[in-house]
Amino acid sequence: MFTNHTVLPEELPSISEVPWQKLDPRYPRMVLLHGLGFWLAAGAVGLALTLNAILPLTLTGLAVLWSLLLIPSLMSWPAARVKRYAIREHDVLFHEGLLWKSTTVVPRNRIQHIETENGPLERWYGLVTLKCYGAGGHQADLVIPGLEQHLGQRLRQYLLNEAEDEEDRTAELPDDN
Amino acid sequence: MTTEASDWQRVSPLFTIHHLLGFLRELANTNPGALAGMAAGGYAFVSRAPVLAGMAAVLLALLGIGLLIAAWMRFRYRVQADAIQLQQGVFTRQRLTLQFERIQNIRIERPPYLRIFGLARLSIESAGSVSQEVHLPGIPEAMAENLRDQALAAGQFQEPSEQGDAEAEAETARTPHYTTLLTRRPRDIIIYGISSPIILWGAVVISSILGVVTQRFEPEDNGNGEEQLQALIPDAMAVAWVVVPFLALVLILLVVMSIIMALVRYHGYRLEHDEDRYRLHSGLLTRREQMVRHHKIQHLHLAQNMVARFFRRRHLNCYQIGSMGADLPDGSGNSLVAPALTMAEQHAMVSRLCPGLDLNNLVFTPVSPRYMIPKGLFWFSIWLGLLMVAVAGALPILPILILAPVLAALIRKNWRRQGWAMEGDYLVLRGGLFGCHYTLFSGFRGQKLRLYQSPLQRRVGLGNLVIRLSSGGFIIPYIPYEQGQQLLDRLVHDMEHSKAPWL
Repeated sequence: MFTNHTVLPEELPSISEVPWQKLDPRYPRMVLLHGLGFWLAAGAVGLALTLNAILPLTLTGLAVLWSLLLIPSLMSWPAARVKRYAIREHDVLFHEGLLWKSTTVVPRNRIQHIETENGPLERWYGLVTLKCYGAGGHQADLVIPGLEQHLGQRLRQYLLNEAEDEEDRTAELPDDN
Repeated sequence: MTTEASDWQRVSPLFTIHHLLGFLRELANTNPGALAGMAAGGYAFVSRAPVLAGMAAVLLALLGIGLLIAAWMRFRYRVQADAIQLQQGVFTRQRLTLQFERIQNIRIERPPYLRIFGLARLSIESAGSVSQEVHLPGIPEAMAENLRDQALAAGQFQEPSEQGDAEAEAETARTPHYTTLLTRRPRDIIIYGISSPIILWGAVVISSILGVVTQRFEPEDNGNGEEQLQALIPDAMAVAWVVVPFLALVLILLVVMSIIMALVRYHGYRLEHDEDRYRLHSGLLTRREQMVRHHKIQHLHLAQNMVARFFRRRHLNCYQIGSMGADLPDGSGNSLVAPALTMAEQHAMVSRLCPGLDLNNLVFTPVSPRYMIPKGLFWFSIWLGLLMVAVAGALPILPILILAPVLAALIRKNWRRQGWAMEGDYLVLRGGLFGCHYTLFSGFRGQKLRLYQSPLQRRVGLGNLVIRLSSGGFIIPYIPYEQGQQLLDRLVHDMEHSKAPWL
């Protein structure tokens, strides 16, 4: 039976009152290590290129440039700390951004498939990245990095079950109106 | 209507013509430069050593024919109860399985070379996470129609319908009865040809041609092209007399080309519907018959550029899942199109495709004027640059001064055009500068919502709401943050509570 109750705007569940979950505390450390690794590598390459006079830079210039590059690498740490996610009954949310703040919502019945991914550094820290894909796009709609391995797998399984149920259309949505 | 699982079959040998044409088209589209080079090289070869060139040509032709025959031999298909399978490829073999229920868009095309033999080409678009298109060229027309009906019926059977299952089954068995929704006379199609975006590309083409012309003059001696031109035509005014008619000629040529392409593609346009199915017939040489189910249409776009605005028309495109392009006269794109609609026709089509939506009585929420600040700054800095050049004496100063209020007026006009409206389930976005275009979709078709704000936006309590559908993403910029949050909550609610079929 089709019902269509009127929902007043105040009664809608709002994203302004979501119980956010923090990412794994190891995630900011991993991001920082990653950034510093790149920074060191970039410095080494820059030094080699300058010494061989391929880059038209003096050593002081290079040092200034290199220390400027340190800023984004260091900023990745607080940026990683403010990232958070939430899994509600019907959707998955992700919040990020130090200056440019963004909140993303993907309803669970719109998720087509889910993958978990972990690179070498993530494996070292025991973390995984969860990616949710919707229909019609080539990129993941929602990416939650820095989840503890077992938690990541559990979340994936949990979200997958819901998606399958939706597809079979055996499970009716709970009538919460 | 069901066919039992059959074995691998070949299509008609006319497949080779389709394959050859496709190859040539792809070659011309992807690297026209290389093609021109080859033609020039071939010409030089023929003029130097005709016998050798002839032999090479015969060898190449034989090789080509051999490859085409091999491609035909390898191209086989098999129809199963719920899917169609294909295998193809000479060097790398490919095997594809298309599930009927996953098919988004199905077209029967009848190019002249197939029509005279009573054959047709079936084009199937399916949507996985990446959409792909498959052609079955050179199968009997009846077979193509049968396959199409089977595919459409499979889609229907899958969906939970309001009626009982038995009733739904009875519905699939009943013969479809189509009523005409929209026809286009040549006049409408000509207007579409004139106002299609191709004309706006004309400017780009002209500038590149001009670039080539001036380059032509440069290498001959080290002076610049204009001097050279002036040497040819002593009067400086005469340059304008040559250039202006030349540009006009190019533009007229483009318009004529566009009109011809539009007439060839949309001649005999007839859009029909039967319950939730739309069927579109069009085409002069290649008769196309396109079929779309109503619920597979994700969003509508009513486009209007400057030229279309002059004719008071809009072009309607119905987009499905995937990043399909708008259907254009030059043959690109594959969305369901209704070209050059008058106001009344727009109204009728929209209320047909979005029941309950009255386009004329929408109240649009304007966008914050701050939205125009980045654009305004950009154009102001360009204007300032021009002014500086003018002050230095390189440009006449008066036109530059007049330009300022014109720019300001245009920016204001562009801002006034922006707006969004939520009417029932539908979200309507409006935009444009000279023309006025609309994007319409049901809120529940969203896939993902994102609300974000920059530091400056946060200071004044604004944000941007991005709504991604399976057919593309749309943004409501500079919306008050609170309002953005409310709209997001509302859309999330619609998406999560809708049981309507949407893929």
